[in-house]
Amino acid sequence: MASVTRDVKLIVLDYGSGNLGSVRAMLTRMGVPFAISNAEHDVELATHIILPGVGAFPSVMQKIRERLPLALLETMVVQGSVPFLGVCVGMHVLAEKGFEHRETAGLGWIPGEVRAIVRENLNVPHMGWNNLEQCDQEAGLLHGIGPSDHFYFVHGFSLSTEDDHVAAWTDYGGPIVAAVRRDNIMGVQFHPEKSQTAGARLMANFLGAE
Amino acid sequence: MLKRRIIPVVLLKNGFVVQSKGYARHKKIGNAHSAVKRLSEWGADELIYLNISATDVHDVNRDDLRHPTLASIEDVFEAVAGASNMPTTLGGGIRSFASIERCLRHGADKVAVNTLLQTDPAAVTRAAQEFGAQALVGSVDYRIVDGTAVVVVDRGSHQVDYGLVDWCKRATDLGCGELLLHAIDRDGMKVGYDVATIDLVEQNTSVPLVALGGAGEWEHFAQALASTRADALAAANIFHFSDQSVFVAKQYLHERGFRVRPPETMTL
Repeated sequence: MASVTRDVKLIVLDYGSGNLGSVRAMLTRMGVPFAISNAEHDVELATHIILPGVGAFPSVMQKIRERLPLALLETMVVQGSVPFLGVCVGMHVLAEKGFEHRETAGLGWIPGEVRAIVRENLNVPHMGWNNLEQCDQEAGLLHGIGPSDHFYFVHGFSLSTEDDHVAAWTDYGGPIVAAVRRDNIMGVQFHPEKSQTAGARLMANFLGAE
Repeated sequence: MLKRRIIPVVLLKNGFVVQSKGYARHKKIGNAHSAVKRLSEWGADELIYLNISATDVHDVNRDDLRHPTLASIEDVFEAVAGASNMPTTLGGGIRSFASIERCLRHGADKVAVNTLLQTDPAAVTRAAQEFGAQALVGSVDYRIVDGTAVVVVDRGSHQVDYGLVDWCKRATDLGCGELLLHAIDRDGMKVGYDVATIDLVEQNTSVPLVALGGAGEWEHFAQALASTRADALAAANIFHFSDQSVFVAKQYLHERGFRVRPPETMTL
């Protein structure tokens, strides 16, 4: 069982989208202190922030704008250096814009766009367990993660961004961005909270990040 | 590369896990929470959880266990999501957008809709808009009558006036990002998967396909993976009756070179 030794105050942002049950279950199993909240007085104390994600890009962005303290988050994460992890659509919204259903502005915290996955001879969405390639282990997030570790992907849209920000790829009839990192801002396309041992390892890596 | 998935199905009737034969006969085999924990520890890739209760009573009535007796289907779902560390699809009796939303809020990663595809297709499309197609599974039940696949809804009681392939395409057009194809006449019969029909549907649709119905031994899984491009194979009964069943299944397939995630067990 991975252990976290630093004094961690993790906030899992609650914007009313998707289920937090698995995130809650994983963090509880890991023995990590955390709170699920969107209140400023909770967020401002965070040492680490997770933005979970289930839902379509436009609907998620609308809820984020309505319910999250964006100015505070930008101060802490974009101007500041609080480690931040976006999961699945929580990673997508970091981009400048998304094209799910219609063109929608994202947060623009990393350059890039989110577009539909197109594969002539493969089924879409990309759904199931896949492994990572060309992991940038310097990214810290992927420390100890190798080609035999599998993560659960379930998505019909994927992020494209500058190569410098890509921490890992996965292959599905062609490369798909699996993880991104821009300084303290991180994102993963897969669901670590659904990815059993490999997911737990990644989560521990994130919580050990400074 | 993406691996093919092996997915246990847990059938839940009024709080108990049941074994099903011929789609109609059900025998109680245990408690939901324990089944899900075991399957998680044996390294299942995913879990499909189908509520086949006829009424809304889900009282497990097991005071001898430490688990609380579960009062509503949402309580059951929430308990299941808490006990599993892998993606979960919930289905059975999902008859409205609100029901889909409740399932997702209570822990489901995906929600399977079946009769709803006929009774309220607009609800399916609305759910796809709101939650994304990847959260919706089109669950299609069929039986073979005089050599033709006949689609049925409402627990097999009502025939749909569409060909199987057309009905599956309709489900994906409405917004389902995955198909669960269930050969209900093979239910509990241990005769193997309906390879011909699975292959036909897979060739004519472009979303991931999960096949269910007929698995009686590990070799049936191997046959289905070898003869079709099904993305995942699901089975109910076979996984509940032997120790470490999922691990053994995956080992069997992995040893024979099938592209499945390597078997692993864990303690939760």
